[in-house]
Amino acid sequence: MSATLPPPAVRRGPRLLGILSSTDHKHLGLLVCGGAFVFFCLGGLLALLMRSELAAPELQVMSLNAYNQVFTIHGSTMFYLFGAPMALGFGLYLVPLQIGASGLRWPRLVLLGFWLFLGAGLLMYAGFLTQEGAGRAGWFAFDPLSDDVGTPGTGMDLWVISVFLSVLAGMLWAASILATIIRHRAPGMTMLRLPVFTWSMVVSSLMTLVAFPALLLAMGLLFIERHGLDVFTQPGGAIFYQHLFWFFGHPVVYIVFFPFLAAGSEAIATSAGQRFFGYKLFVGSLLAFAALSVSVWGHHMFVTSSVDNRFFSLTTTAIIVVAGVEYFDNLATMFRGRIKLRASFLFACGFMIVFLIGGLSGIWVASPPLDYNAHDTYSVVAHFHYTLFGGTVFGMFAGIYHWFPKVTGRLLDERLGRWHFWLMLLGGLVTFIPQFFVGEQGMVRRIADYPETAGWTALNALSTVGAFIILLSLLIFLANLIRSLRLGKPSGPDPWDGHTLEWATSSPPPRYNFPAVPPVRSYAPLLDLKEEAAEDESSHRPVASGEGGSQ
Amino acid sequence: MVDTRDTWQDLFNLYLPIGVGVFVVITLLVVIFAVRYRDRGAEDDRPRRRRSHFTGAEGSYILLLALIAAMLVYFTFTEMGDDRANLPAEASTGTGELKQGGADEEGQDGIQAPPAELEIQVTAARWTWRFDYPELGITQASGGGGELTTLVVPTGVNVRFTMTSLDVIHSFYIPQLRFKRDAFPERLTSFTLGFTEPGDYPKGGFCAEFCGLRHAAMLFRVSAMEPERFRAWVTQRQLEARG
Amino acid sequence: MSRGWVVMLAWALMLGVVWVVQWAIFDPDLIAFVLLGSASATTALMALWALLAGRRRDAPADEGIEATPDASHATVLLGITVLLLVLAPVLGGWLAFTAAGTGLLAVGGLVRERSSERRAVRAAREGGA
Repeated sequence: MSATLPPPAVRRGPRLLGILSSTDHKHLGLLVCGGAFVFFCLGGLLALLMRSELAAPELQVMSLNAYNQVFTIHGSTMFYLFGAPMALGFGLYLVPLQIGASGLRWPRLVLLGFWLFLGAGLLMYAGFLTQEGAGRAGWFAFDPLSDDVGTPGTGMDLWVISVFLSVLAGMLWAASILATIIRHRAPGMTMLRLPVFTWSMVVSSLMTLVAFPALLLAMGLLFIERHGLDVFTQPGGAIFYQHLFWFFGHPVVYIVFFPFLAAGSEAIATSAGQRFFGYKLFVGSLLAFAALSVSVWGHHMFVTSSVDNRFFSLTTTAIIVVAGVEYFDNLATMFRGRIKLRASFLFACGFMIVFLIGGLSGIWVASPPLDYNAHDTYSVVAHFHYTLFGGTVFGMFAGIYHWFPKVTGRLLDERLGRWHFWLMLLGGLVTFIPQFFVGEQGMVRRIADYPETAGWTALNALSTVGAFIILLSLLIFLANLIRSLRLGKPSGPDPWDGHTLEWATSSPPPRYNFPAVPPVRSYAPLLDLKEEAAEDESSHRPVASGEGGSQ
Repeated sequence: MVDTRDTWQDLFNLYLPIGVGVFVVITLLVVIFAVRYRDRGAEDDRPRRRRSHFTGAEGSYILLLALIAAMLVYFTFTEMGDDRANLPAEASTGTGELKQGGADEEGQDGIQAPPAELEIQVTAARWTWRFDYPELGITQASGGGGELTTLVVPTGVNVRFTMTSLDVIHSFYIPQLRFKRDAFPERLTSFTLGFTEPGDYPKGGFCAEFCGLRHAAMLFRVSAMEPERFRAWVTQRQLEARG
Repeated sequence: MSRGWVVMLAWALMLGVVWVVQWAIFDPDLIAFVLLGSASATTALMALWALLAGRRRDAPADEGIEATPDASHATVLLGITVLLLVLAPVLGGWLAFTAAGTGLLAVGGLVRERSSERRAVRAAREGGA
């Protein structure tokens, strides 16, 4: 029952039921990440359907109505059911381990959140079974298109409810993670000794708690509007909805970015065998990054003529500075290292390169006159897929290859991991680079069909080929996953020579994580211990980074 | 004359080389570091990085980034100063069915609307466009059956557009002009465009904001004419309307 | 020992700076002004919460004793209750009655869990002392 009492001798009920109602943060993290991964695969299948339809002009694969459902549910899945849950799910599993805590604060809220999230996913997909089909007003569901006149039917109602539930779940998880970091750190683990991944969860949780209520409100009002009461059907109502939506919608793309940026940073520091570089500036820039990213939402509304374009252009362009610091620190962490070219490191490098395309094109569309052309065209589709595919997905895989041994006690196969990486890199480039070009030529988004005379056919076909290369890479990963779960080499507690506390306990960790928490004197407590041990052993040559980063 | 293409091209010429340059440099660094500092086994005695922070270097780097950002913002704002299209929705020009939306805040630029020689009212509705020329008594609309509406404009002069939607949000987008603007129900949006080149624009115009089932088919044609030809076209259309 | 509130306050101040820039130099519409301001204010409130929570003596982090059941079926029931409730306006009001039933069970279960937790903490304290 408690940390001080012996665990119950008999497990009641079947094992799966136990996990589905567990209050152990490791079960909760796995449930959320596992659920999010299933939705990632479903969302990916929908993307393949879209790419098949777009491979050539005219309609081949599906009807217009079906296409609208497919792109709506693809986007909605990737944000509401995959991105945010996966990012926060990583935190649910790893944060207590990284700060030397025995569990999460408010585990019941997290469990409640998981069930709401599960319900959200089922309801969103249940929409396909309704008469009018699933939600089909885009993942943004701008009013008045999303009201009962623009998009009637139960499927759209279910979509609204589903988004509401998923946003609520995200807030519960973020509150728990933040409270855990504030209240449950091990002795010596000051805020400025938190591992970079935990820091990314601090800012992501803060952003979640600040930004998600806006969408909760928007979905609540939209539901009321759909059931007879005019809310947004006032002058200015459509703009009001867009403000609420993007006040959620821009921060969320960073909530699904920071944790995976930091996962990549941890993979790089560990693979290079050196302390993470520029820790304090990195942390400061994360906070500033988060503050800016809550202030840029209006850049989605440049062409509405109802926001001050200059302000949002300024805040968005200023992100160059904070993002640049993160790149500097990652590169400097590699500098003069002894880098082991593991799959997790490759994915972290892939993250840096592929996300960079998205980041730089983001600066591009931050300039209103350039955005007047790019907005709602395939240029923007390519841009944000480079941030989300490059950032979230590559970063997620860096994290998965890095922490899989901790979670399962087994190693993923490195050779398959390299195949997975190179194919995914190739697929990512072949799929989205052509979209920059068709977008620049004016191909707008969310169309099932395009005129043959526009000359976009070859580039679209190429993009479709790329999507199937990504599919191939993911199949390799799934094979790796299934094989390694059963046959993977046992990893032991610390296969990578880790720097942070989670590597100080067994893999997988016991119910309350640590028999004893090692002393914490910097943001890389295990590296400190290893360096001390090495110095004791051979005092003839001092090893590695001398001064450390601790205060 | 308002030239949105020119504004776009100027900024394109600035942003593209910087973006490509930064991409090449950082990608090269990632690749070089990964190869050069890879682990080479036990007898590797190359020097390690000695420090784990270097605030001076990072500080100057941050300064450099801030300068780049400031430069980009400066040029963007300068170009936007010429961006006559970026003007507020105009008050009280609403026709009978159009109620005026919320007053707009973008007028603070102090830019006066450039004098326009032609007024066109754009009405977007699922999934078609209508263009009214109130001064000339002409209406361009789709005849139905999937036929596209043609926007006919004179070259070399400023054309003032006032736009609204009858149902959901649409967006008026002419790729050749590098310009789009959203059309809202219950609200007027105004902008001024200039057409430099005569001829039928091969890609025409699109609805860029998702508006439901037939969003993909909500296109229009764009035909720009030299002023004399445009006058002839106007006369012909007026005769047709009477006859 | 907890300095978490400082971080939140720092973030609230950063948001505050952007908010002031927006208000002083630019010309935001009312919604943008309120949204950014409330983001800053919300964070400041969270910082206040963290500060006060860190001062509370009986906070579990300071006691070192925690009791949480390994599994909470009542929470699962609560989740199902919420799902039924939000579905009721779409699929039919009768779901609300089902939700009332599961909700009652859930609350009962949570109360039971809570009291057994208190017992466990008390037992642990007495055992430890």
